[in-house]
Amino acid sequence: MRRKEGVLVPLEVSILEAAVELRSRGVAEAHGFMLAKAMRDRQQARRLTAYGTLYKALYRLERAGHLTSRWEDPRIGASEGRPRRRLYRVTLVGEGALERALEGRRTPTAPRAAAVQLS
Amino acid sequence: MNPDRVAVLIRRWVDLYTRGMPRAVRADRRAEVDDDLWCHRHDAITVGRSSGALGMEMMLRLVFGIPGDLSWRLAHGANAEAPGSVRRTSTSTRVIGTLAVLAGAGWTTLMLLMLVYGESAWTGSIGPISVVLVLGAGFAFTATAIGLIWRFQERLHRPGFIGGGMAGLGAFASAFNGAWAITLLPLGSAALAWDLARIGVLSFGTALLHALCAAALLVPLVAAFSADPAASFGFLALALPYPLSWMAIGVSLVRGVPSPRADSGRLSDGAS
Repeated sequence: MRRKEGVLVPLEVSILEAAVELRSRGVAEAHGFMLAKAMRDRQQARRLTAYGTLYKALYRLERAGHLTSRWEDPRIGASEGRPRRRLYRVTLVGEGALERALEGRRTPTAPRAAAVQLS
Repeated sequence: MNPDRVAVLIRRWVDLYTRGMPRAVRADRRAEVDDDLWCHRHDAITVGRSSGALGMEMMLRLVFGIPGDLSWRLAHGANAEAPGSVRRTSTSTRVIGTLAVLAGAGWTTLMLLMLVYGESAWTGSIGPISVVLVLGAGFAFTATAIGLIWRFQERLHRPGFIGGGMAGLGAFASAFNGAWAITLLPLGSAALAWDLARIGVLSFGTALLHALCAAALLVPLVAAFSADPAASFGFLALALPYPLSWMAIGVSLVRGVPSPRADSGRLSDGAS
């Protein structure tokens, strides 16, 4: 089923929630695995989100302007002996979308608890 | 499950589904997944997880993410083709496309006859029609496969050549009830379609659809050559999408090959 433009699906809500929570703990920018781990911990899930599911959702959130990303200075990764890293940050648009999505979840008249029309 | 082997598998999968994309996009996706693998491993070491459990979780993350990877790839493919490109075609490409449509239509009709009449589609008054269809479609598929290799020989890579050859051979075998050789047609055409998508002649969506239809066709083909050939009729409906996907390829070729405007030479089909 094709999803509507401007609608946050539960996974995207979870990603934004995780990113906001990480920021509240002083992590302003998070990489994919860190977000997946934060989501798993929040939901007390057994497994991490699948690669394709996670990175597709991040791509979509970034295209929608809910997240921005930048590539970390490759020298940092090289000095730590790991690959270069993409870091994501929640935007104001993303925060607003998350707020509306969560508000929609709390509203009993919302058509679907998990998907909320934005704007 | 060995995490090192699973990591190799994941990287190969990333290389596969990002094939044909701009180099920077491929490198970014590869780097992002590499970093995830690195973090996952270090996290497992920190919390004292066994390597078997880590490997299993990596494998599950790979498998459950495949639909997401493919839809991400298709979305990129659609974005890549749309802006600033025009469809160009040539007489030869139109002829090959028309052959693909005719071959697909022939097989579709034949399969519908077999679905309706079963084994008796080969006997009585319908028998000659079925024979004409199987011969005509077999030759048309053969000509299409060879034509595609010939038309795009300068840009196809080895998988495309081998796939096209296999498809041609399998199609020729199909005209003469060539037993197992017929399986070469779906296997080869899937490889050929993917290589054609890589060079921009087909969209990746079309190639992926064709590959899925080819995989579905293998079920009745294998059943037909197994111990109980009658079982293949039970799976015949699975074969139906395959010729339809050939028709989609044919229509795409007749419409023309997406190519950039005159300021760039990539993907030109020698328009006439």
